[in-house]
Amino acid sequence: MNVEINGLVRRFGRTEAVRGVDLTVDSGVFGLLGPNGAGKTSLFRMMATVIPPTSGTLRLLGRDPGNHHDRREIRRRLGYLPQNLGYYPRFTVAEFVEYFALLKEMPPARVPAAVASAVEKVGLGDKARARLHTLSGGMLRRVGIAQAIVNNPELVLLDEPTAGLDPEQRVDFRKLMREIGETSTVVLSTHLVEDIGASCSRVAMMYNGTIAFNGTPDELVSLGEGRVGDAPLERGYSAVLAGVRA
Amino acid sequence: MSSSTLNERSALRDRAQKRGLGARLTWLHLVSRQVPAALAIMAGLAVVLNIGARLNWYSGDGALVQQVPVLLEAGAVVVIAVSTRSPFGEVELANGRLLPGLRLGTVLALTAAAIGLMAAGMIGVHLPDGGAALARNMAGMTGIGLITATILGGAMAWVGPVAYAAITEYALSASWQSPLIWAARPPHDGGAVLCAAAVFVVGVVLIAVRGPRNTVRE
Amino acid sequence: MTAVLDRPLATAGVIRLTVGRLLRLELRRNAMMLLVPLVIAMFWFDTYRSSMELPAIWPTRLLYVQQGRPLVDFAPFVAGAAAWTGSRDGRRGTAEQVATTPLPRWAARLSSWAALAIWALGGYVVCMGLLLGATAAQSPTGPLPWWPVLVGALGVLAFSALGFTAGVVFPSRFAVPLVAIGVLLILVLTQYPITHNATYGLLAPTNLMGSAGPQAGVFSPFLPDLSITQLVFLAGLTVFALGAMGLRERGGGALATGFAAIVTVVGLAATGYGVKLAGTAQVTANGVVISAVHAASDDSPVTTSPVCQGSAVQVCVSPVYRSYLPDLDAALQSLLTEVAGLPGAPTKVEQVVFPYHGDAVYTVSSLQGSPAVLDLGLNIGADGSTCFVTGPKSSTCSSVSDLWKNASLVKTVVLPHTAQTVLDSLVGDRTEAQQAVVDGMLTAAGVTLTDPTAQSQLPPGAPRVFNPEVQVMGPTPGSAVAVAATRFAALPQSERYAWLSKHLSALSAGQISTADVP
Repeated sequence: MNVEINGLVRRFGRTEAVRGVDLTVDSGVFGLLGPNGAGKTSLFRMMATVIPPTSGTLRLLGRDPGNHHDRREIRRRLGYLPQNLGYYPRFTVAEFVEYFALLKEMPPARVPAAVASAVEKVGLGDKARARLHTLSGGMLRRVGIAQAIVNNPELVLLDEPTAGLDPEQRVDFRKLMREIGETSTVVLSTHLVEDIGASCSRVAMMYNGTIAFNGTPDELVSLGEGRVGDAPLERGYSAVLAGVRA
Repeated sequence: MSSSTLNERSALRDRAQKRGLGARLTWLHLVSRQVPAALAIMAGLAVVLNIGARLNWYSGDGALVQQVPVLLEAGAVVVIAVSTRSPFGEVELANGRLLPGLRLGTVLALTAAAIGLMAAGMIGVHLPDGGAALARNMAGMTGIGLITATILGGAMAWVGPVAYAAITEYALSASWQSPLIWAARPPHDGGAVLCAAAVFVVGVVLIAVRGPRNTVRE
Repeated sequence: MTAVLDRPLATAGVIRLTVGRLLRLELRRNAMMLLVPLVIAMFWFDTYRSSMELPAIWPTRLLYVQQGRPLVDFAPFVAGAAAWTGSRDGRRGTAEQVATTPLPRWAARLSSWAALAIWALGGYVVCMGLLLGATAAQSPTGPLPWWPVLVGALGVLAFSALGFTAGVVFPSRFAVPLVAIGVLLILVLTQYPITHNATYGLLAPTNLMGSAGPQAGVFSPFLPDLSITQLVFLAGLTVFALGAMGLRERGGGALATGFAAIVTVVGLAATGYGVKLAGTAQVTANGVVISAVHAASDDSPVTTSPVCQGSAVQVCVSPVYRSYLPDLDAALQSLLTEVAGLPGAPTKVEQVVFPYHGDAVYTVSSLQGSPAVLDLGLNIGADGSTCFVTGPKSSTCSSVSDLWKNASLVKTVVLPHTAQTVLDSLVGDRTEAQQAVVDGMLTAAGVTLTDPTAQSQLPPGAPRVFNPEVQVMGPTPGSAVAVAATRFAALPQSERYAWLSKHLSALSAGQISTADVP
């Protein structure tokens, strides 16, 4: 298992953002759904080793991120795209991705090829030399994906990766995620249920800091039978929410 | 109750509501520019000005007598200059019909507050050129900071006043007489007052009308 | 698809290569790159222009470098740009993204700082190169004082490190400009107020008391004691700032934290050692002596063959100042002609070092030894301008550099005080007859005596300053001394000389009265 979470809790002051989450994730694309404030981002940040859990156990790629040496090994094999991507406006696309490749301690000799490959994969090959401040929001998001995958990570965490992407780019993105998911673990946090349906082999739903659903997209769809909604997954999503709110 | 009375009361309520909203908008604008922090920093500089006088930093007859107060004044000015930076970027510009007035008011209020605070820092101590020179120096340097903000953006607006302060330090050592270096001129020098005032007015008008340049550095 | 790092690589090697690549990236995008033209312009405006007005003598031309002026031009902008660079992650919201990467944050930040420092130092090297190159093209004389140039370079580094760390710790919009102004304030403050305590304050490169002066290395070796101490102090500050930044990073592991702690302690120790050295500093006529780093060989004077001119009495100057010899000789001829050959009169005039931190403005002189030699210190190479009274209602102002190129002004500033030194030593100034003879000889030599009663009669606004270096107070008009002096001055030079040859010892012994003065 690449991600093993047992009884994970995270508090911020008196607020409990994550309350006893149990989750295991293996290779493939794993989706994380939930309304705003459900705790998805806090869970993501713990998995990205940005913040430590308050209690519970978390193992990533078979290692304990609480241990400094293990954490460093995890980070070498990790790709992370946060919800709010920060960037240096004067860097070019290639420079930005190269910067993170170097921070991830990729062997310097392999960096140029890895950068070129990552930039191509997200469809920005012709924009490699463009400065970041000249890019649209969707292109910036793709740059963020590129920096997340440049080191061919074993664990990829993407928070709202398709925000700002047009439909064609979302299709390309899902295809890319499926490819990466063949050998790595991809965890996708998104509000777009069609991303889940098109890419994910398993999906979990968070509500109020806990896991409200954990199963396959088909199982989620089946929960929504008889409910009103635009799409089957949306109906399943609503059904789960209605259940936990009841 | 007659309809005219009702109309009057309604109009009064509307005006009161607008005033309240205006005050609220002004406060939010000031907070977005971190004006409270700016005022706290300026108050700190005023304290340093006072302590420096008590430690005889400005006593004697050398150039240092004026050089150090000018630098402390420049410290307050760079705070005003960088406070012009907008954290909102284009969103604010697209919605900012009231923006020129808010910018104008903010800059004038901050400049007045800075001069007032630094003047308060002179209480109980003697500064060689007095309050009039302090006001002149700060107004002029603020103008330079505001002009720099329209060229380089709010975040880098400090470059102009720092460069001017460095040139002024040299001018004070070399006893320059040009009114363009107003801080090196006596307080009663009309030409220096005119130059400083002109630069201040130009800076205020530019920042009110155009605002700080929205650069990639913002 | 497998992770690139299937097997652990040598960490140190990866970090080295990675930091090297990061440095290359940062060099292309550093904020300091954009400010280099501005600091070069500031340097040109301040240090370069002022320096090029000084004579083409190396220690003189680098007087402002000795006084730390390049640092005033550079440091505020370097520190501001450094604070800007250090606060980058805070301002750009990339803190979390970079926190998820394995490279120690300290290593990545050091590459950002290193790129900035390279740009800043590059600008400094360009500026110093311009100044040194322009000076070299003028065939300067004298020894080139390298130490202050090095101190300036390390000062740039130190302020870049301090500014960078300030930006990391305080990524606020106000931190950057306040760092810039704060640095400028510190540099200006350290120029003067600490001169009363000329020890610890000497650590500041801008402290004027620390400057060896425009004749450094000409008459005695340039003392590097203070420069060495400043280098130790500034290096310590640089290392401390960078180490403290590394200590601040959380999650760096025991090794990184331990290394940062060691670096911080080393920096602190070096800084403290510099402070301790400075506490033992002594400002001497030849420069600052700090015994722990002082080389005994620096106490020996520089031996050069002086350049001399003159017939009856030779006037000799250091070869560094040979171009000033003709005017100096001309200025002293009238005096030397009056006294040459008299018992106790100078047989030679020799240039000695002018005490840069003393009270004299133009010259210092003393009559030493047997046969007597007139030691004459000349303030050639000083900066600034000077004004002095030339008549009852007039004064003259000139830059000190131009003064020494003007034969008439050279005579004005050299002759009065020097003549009074020689004549007071030769004749004495206790009795009225001695005063009358001295005043008469001064007048005959071309020195205009100031009427002591005229000072109070000056019209409003007239210059009232009496400068004892260029003015000699004469006797009260109508007094016995005045009458005798006028009489003596009116004699032909040969008669004055003959009378002095016969009566000098009696005059010096106080056995002559004013009535006896011819």
